[in-house]
Amino acid sequence: MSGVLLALLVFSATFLSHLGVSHLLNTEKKEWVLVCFMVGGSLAYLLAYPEAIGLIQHITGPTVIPAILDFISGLAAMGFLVLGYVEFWSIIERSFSLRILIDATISPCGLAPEEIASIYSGGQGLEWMMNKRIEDLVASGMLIPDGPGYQLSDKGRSVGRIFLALHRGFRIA
Amino acid sequence: MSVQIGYAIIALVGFIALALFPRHLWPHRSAAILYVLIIWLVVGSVLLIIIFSIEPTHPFVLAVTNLSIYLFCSEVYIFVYALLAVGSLSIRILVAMVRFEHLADPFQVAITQCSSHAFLKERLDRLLTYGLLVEENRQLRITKRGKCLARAGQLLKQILAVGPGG
Repeated sequence: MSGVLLALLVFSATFLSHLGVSHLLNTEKKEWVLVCFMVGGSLAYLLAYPEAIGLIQHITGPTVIPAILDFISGLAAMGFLVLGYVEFWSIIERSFSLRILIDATISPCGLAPEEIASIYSGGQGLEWMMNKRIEDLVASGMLIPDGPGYQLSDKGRSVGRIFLALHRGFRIA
Repeated sequence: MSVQIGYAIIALVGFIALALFPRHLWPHRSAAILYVLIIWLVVGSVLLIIIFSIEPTHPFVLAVTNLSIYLFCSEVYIFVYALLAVGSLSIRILVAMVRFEHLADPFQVAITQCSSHAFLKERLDRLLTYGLLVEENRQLRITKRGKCLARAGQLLKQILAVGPGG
């Protein structure tokens, strides 16, 4: 219980700091900033727990569950909040469908699918979107440029195999 | 300790069993995601009801402890499942390249399979199914519901200070 309260406090501080920095810092690597903040927040929970838990229990009273369980449940709460925020942030930042809807508001009388493709993401077009995904795969070391195309790196192959196995496990076509 | 988090473990096993069980009933991927999210909330609520009904001492502490463990573990499942079922384009390219690695140019095959136009068509069909777009004379027009969602998305983009995205 105290661990969950500490996780809520640490996550709130991490979230507000990330939000502040996102407004102040204009960077192309927004995903990395997010990941750094979330990893930092999780480490802050781990480091703060031994010191802060005494203070929290001074306010809430002694915990009725074993200390290790209190720590684990706090860590789980932290993981839940971090993963939830990363998921939510990714939907708002990268969602293809949301971008189509925002683009479609420009023309209240309607657009043909070809027009939607050409005005995608403020006029950058679908090819830009595809190139962005490929650039991200290269930047994260999954793909290696090879002549006019690309080939899988060892890392990309391993990640691809894991997702292929998961595809089969979930029976997704 | 195992007794104290037993509720979370049982809830998690129940959630995964229910989430895996009826997938073949919903060939439409987004319907399957909606089902998984509903199951997630229902199992979480049942977990709380059971703890408050049968635990004589400290039900609140046990509920918070078990709920946080259940929520985190099941969220990891949902995160991976959504990534696969909704279909991240980057993941699709990687998976296609692994699948066709025996061919001469797996990248070209993957790009042909995961073309941006096929991806767009898939998403437009989904937006039409959900009533966020309507088709009139081969033109796609945004509905009131779609406009609300687009405005909310635009506002959240400003609050989170993210780029145009997509």
